[in-house]
Amino acid sequence: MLKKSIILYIIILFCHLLAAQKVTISGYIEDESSGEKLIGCNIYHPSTQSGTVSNTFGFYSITLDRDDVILLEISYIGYSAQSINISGQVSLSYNIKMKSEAVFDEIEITATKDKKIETETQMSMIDVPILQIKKIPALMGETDVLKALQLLPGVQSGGEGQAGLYVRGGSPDQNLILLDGVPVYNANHLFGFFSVFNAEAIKDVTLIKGGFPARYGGRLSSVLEINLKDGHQQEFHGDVSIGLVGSKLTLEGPINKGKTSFLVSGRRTYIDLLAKPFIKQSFKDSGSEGDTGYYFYDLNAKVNHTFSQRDRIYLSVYGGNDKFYFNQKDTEFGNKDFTDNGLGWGNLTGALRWNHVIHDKLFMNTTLTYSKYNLNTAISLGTEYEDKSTDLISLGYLSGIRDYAAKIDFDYVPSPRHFIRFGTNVIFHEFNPGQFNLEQISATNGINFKQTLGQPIKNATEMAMYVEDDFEITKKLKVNVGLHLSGFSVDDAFYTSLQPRFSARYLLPKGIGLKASFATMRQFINLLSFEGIGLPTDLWLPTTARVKPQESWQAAIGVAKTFGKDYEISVEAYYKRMNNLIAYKDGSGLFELSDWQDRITQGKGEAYGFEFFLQKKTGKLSGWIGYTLAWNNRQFSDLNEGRAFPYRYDRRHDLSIVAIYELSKKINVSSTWVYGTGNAVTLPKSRYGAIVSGENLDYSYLTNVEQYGDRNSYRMNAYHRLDIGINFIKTRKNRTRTWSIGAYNAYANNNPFFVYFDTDYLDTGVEKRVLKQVSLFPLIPYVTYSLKF
Amino acid sequence: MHFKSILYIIAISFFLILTSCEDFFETTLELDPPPFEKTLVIDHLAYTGRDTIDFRISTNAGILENIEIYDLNINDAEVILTVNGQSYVAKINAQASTYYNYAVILPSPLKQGDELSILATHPLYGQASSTFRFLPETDILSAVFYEDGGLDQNGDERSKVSVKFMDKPGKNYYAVQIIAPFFNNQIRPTSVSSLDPAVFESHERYTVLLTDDGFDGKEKILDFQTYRIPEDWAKGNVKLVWYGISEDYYKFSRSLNAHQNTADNPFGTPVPVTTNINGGTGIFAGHTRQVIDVD
Repeated sequence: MLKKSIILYIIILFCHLLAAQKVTISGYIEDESSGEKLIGCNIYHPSTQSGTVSNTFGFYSITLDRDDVILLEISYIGYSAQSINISGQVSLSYNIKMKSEAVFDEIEITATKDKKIETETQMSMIDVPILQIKKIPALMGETDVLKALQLLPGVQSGGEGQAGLYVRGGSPDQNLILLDGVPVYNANHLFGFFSVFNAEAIKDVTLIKGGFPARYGGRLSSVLEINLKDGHQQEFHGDVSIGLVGSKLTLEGPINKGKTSFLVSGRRTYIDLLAKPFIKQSFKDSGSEGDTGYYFYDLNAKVNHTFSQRDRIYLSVYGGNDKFYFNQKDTEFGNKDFTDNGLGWGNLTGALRWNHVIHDKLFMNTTLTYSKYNLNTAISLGTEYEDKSTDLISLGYLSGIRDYAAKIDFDYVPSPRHFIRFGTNVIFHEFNPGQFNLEQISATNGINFKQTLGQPIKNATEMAMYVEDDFEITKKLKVNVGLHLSGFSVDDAFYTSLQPRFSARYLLPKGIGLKASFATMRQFINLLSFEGIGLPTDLWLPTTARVKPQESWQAAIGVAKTFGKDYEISVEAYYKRMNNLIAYKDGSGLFELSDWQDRITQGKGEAYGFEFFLQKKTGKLSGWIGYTLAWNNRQFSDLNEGRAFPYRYDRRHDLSIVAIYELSKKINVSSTWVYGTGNAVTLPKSRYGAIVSGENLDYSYLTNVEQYGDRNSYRMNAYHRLDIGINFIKTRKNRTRTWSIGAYNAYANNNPFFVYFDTDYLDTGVEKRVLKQVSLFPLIPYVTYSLKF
Repeated sequence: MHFKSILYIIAISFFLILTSCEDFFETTLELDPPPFEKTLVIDHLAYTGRDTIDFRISTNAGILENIEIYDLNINDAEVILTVNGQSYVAKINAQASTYYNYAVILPSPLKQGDELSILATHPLYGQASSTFRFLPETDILSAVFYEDGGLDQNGDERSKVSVKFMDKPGKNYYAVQIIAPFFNNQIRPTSVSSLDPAVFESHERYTVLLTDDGFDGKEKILDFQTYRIPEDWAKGNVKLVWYGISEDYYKFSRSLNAHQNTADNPFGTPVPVTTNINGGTGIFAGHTRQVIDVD
């Protein structure tokens, strides 16, 4: 390690000497009023037609030939473009403040276009402005980042209302979801109907579906990077929002103006509180006491402090929990029979980040993170006797994952033609694959019994190193090449993987960007999940000596172009091959005590398709059209008699149309229409009787055997839905209030949630077996009130 | 607008939603079932030492068809059984007190190494066929009864039969039963289980299955637990029934067992039951049967 550091230092020094005739301009780019750092801001030097972009922390560095005056053009979506003249004789640190265009014109956001899509090396990447996400109609008015991402090509939802992401044939566990750089293991509230990300606290959302840069690793299918706001540097501001299912409060402001700021954002649902009187009365009517309900809450908090132009720290914390409870008490003959049940799950994450500008071309970010996901189920039954003695039986189930991680990342920008990133990280995982706690206390029989069953906690260490360079070879040809080296240590097994990454773009005539990418990925942790159910009971488990790591390679090719004033179009085709995918063996079930490794099987998968994306981020009318034509198959030797079968989320056609129209500065309307081929499920086609007797015919009987066709050979009905919304905005002095009114599934289509067999009893007394489809959410209106101050 | 008014509007909207939705957010639709093909079902299990072979010939029904599985027997099929190249036409077994509706009586009992084939033909449901061969007998070296057989998976006290046997080279599959006295002095198959990971539940009652994974071609000792039997009851009355079974039957039995276990489990994955019938479904198999007196 020391040797590598010395070599690195020599390289840097050498480059520095070579650059003696050059000057470097570096610094931070931030919002003029709030001081919020701007990510991906474009810095362009027209004389040389070269440029760079600000990194995740708003830092930029550009090295140019020495000159009397250097002209730089700065542009960022939603902000007015700036041209700045800087003395070009010496290297200097220069912070840039950008003015939001909304200040000038509240009707039409017409920012100078930032970096054009066809010029970027990165393909298969989408960033949706958070302001646009907030205007899209949402289920029950709860703005949801993950649901907005489901409207993009190559990204699918699991089912009605669910927030899980299925990216290019992958499963939700194959998405690396980073909240301020910390992995979030369960991104869902309420069984997937809402995501854990509170839109009010989010600054920036980026999704990468392929062509993964070398700095990312550990998951096969996507990287979703969500960055929280830093908090207003100059003034106190707040945002309160009251919706149908919950309320949110966000506060931000300076602790020490220009140096330290904070942001706190909390959210809680109150269905349980609204329904409580009715539920209690219902128990009372049935002659007992009791309560039942469900709620979730989450809290984001962030503090950042600027020590100097070179040093900044950020501390961010996220905590969120879901809780379902049911308790009941019945009194009989003076004794109270009681039952007390609870199901809770939640995440807790924390990140401490230190930014240090080592050199005007070299930026360092050091991060310490903590991430925990827990599921806790408890069921208690008992009797409390008149003499206060108690008989009690309780069963608890606990599972989860806990990570401690450290990483260090460097951005090195030696010239406008190179943007080099390198770094390393280590993660200590602690897996709890499911433990049952049994307890029996009986005063009457003198029993006091406690037992813990299940799988022991397993520890593992994951580590990685990477280096990548975004290299402009010629004005037309730009590549991003990188290597990601990862390792995983568990029990006595140690896995390593060297993953090459490559992306390229070539500028064709008429400003068309031709892009291609290739990436190999490896994943050392697995989510053992029942397809489609999306329960919090899904288990995170490590690769072991028996269970091999999941791996994939993906190749993609596409074209991209900006046309007209601000329309972007991209067309991509991809092929992804996945190995060592994990699935339950036939017949395996939840809550089993046997070793989980015995209950799973590993196989392969392939996904390929074509994506079309037309986006307009600015102007009176904004939105996008996304279409995906895709195939997605799996093959396991232990499933479907070894034959390949469609993945449950093999969706041939997936279309989304999103439109937002600013009618005036006080009113905007929005609409979303989605269409998707029905999910593939396994249903029995016929049935027959099989004799169960063995040799002893006197004990024989016939059992009903349901005959299945090929796995996932039945298609549920296609899914389509229209959502509409309208926002009424009124601004007074220091505050802005917004009424949002709309409807989810406006034409009340019966979309499939699941199908099942049932028996109906006809008036004639005859039983009739039927196949039924259950649909949720026929038409859900919403109304939300929010006040910004 | 006052805060109270906002809350009022929100609360009214919330309850409007709840009351406007049928079944509290849930509606159901009837769908057409998946298409299927009507075929013959063959259900047959033969044992060495027997000279009568029973079959059940039936058909399958659509998943939504309102018909009892007992009423699916087919009595107008032509069924030809071939034993070591000699063909026999199966006859309707009208007198049978079991579910088997066809039978063939052979001139001599079946023995290890015999090869059996079946061909069933029906004008509406087509042809179904299958073949198997009885496996060679296993060298059982010893079988010893212990009243104290330790605790089973549930922590209950058990007796056990310890079996030493020689596994033949190649992939082998076995089924095991224990025959023991009951309280009413009836001697019959009884509960059997094992803590050995090579042993699995069968869909048949009082039967377990095992493979030779981990001891292929080697001598092996396995303990099979049964209910707690007093030593004096057991003396001379406990027998071990050892079956050499085919891979097809092993897979069928394990899949059917899992199918039954997950039938009412909403979190269970669907389990297709395997078959070795060409052109139809069901099972056509035979066990090489050995009955061993337990010491």
